[in-house]
Amino acid sequence: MNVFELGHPHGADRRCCRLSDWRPQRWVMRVRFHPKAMMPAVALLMLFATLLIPDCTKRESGERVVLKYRAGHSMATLNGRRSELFLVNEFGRLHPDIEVIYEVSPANVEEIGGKLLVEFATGDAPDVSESVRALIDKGLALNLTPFIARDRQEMGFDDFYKLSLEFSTLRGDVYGLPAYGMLVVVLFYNKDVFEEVGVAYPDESWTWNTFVNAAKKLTLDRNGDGHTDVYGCNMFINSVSGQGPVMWSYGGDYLNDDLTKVTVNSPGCIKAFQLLHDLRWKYNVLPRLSEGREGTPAVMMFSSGAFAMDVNHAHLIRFLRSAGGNMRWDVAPVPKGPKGRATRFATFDLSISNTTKHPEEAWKLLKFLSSPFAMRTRLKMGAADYTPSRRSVAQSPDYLSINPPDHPEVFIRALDYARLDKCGFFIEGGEIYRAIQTQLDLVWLNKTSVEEAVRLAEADAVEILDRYLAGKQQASQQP
Amino acid sequence: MENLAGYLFISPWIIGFLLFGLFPFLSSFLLSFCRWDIITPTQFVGLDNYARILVREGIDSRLFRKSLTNTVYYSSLAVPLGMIGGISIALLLNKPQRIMRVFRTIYYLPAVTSGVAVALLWAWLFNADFGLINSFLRKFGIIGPAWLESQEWAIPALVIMGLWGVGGSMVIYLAGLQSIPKHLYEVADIDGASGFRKLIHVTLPMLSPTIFFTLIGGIIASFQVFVPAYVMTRGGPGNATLFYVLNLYFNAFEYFRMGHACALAWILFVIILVLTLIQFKLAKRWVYYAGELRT
Repeated sequence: MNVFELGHPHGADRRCCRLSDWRPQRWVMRVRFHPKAMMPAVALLMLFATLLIPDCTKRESGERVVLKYRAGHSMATLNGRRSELFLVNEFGRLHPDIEVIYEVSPANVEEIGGKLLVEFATGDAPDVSESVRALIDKGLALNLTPFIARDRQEMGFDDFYKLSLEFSTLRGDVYGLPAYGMLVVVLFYNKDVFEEVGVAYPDESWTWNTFVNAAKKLTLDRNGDGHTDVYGCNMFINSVSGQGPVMWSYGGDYLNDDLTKVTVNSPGCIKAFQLLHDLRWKYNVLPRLSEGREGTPAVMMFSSGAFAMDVNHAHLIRFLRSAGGNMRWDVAPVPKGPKGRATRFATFDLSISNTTKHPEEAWKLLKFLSSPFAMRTRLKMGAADYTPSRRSVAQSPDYLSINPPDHPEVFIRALDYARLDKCGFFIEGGEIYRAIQTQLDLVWLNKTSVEEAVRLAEADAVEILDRYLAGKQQASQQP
Repeated sequence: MENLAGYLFISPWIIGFLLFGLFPFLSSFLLSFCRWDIITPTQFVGLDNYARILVREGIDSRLFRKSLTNTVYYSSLAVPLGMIGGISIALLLNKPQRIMRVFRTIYYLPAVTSGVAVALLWAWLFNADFGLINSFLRKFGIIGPAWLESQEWAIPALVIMGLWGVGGSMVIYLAGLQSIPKHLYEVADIDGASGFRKLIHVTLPMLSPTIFFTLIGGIIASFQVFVPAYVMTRGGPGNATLFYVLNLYFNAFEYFRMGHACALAWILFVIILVLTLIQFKLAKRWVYYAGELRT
């Protein structure tokens, strides 16, 4: 008996089941004269009607100005949320005529650009939000230069480190302020292992050769079972955080300065990638899993003593503090190369969208969020593991007394030789970066030579860059 | 009047379908002939997107072929293994004892755990140096491969990870097994069939509609594999786990090439459609509905 036979007027005898036996009126007749049977349908319709009620959170602009502030992804931690909420309330106290709606940003940094882009398209972008350089490149951020020119003294604009403004500066105009701070890549080291083996702590004199020699000594197989227990070093060899310090100190880079040429197939780059390859395959000081993203095992393994040294972002401190344990560690500058010393640098900026309806009020909010008071608050509340981008705050006891590490001034002095990653400057840059890393992945797996990988990477990157340049040319030709 | 009742009843679904199904469906088709990065207005480019993917030799067509190869490889491993696993477990647990319910629950639990948390857990398990799987293999003196960091083992690793969800299809096979009439087995016993013969000549043919259902569903789902690759490997190493939908995602939401992504989506639609139609054609040979006779 199948389900079609169950209610059939002629019963289970399938042989007399013809199309004419099926008369739907029998079924529907029951519904027609039953007002109660209509109720579910009406209820469902009413439920759907509630979706049409307009969004109550949007206020008509009357006396109060309403701003939407979405904190950057670096403030997605618990302390970060607390500090931003506190600052928003403080701002509300100081400016009773402005109301700020506070939103937390997605913690995943890759999603921010996409979300913002969609919001710009729908006209719903937050007034103050995290700067995305690629979006600044598309002209979506408000030009702050006239505001800064007017309020320069009052806001202490010269208090910002010059380098920290570079991320949001395009063709001489400032489009964002580094409110949350700056990040550099430095050399973390495990004091316990260094003392166990008897190697001197890293210092400013170290070159990459010194680094390699030390790493060889620091790679230990404690119980002789053939499995390395402590690796000499860890680096993000498949990202600009690991490649940058080496590549730039050898004089190479992915792209040239005005983003018109792909320069990955150059002697500096090749030497740098060869060094990184040898760390794993010739000297065996690098673990097999050295690729890093926040939260992946590699980030957490330094605190468990799996590496003697870790070339990592400064905000590894956050994980080291929360991981507990009693490993003693400190920081040192990254080693230098033949063409000098270089490290990767990033800032976390806030900018104002150019679709904002209240530029003056948004500017007041932005000034407040990047003021010395705000930065000190974030430090005190444990929200900022980044170096403050204002000199007055970075050199104050609020920041310098945070211990460990013993030498937080390493972060500040790194500004002298720190550089931004060019691939983050425009959207196709991300595509180029990925294409280069895809080819280099084969080098890290020892499947191909550096020269071959770099040649293929250049071919792919050139194709993408040409597309970008053609698009820019077309855009500039349009009225 | 009776028509009005009918329309009212289906109106929620119709409205949902029109807004969230049909409209995006059609606009993505139109977008696949344009270039659009969300901020600037759309720009009609005709068949350029499709040409870049299918015809012109360049990075786009290379990534398309690579991602399609990876997806087919994954599917050809995941679907058969999943089906064999599901049927085997269902056969084992198709006993009347009450303890079977406990085991069925245990096997079904992984199917309800959610994507990202599971992916992170498995990333730890597959860690080449410190993960559980390689530590376990080391006890037997086997040096485990680099799993997610190696090009040969990355997709097999993802297949293994996907196999822990066989509980989902096991439930469906159990339902199918329990609808096989007992008298068929009695007849087979009378004819002197061994257990293996009963499996081949009674169980599997009676189960063939269920197998067909899970086969189609499995192919469609495995062609759309995304979360494990996105969370664990992001397409690496060297694009070894760049699956089709992952490539589509990067183009849409990281490079903002919406037109190109829509073209990729429609090509995938056509591929899956063709595969499904082929399956339906072949089904006439091996699927027996409700024990019909075939001469």
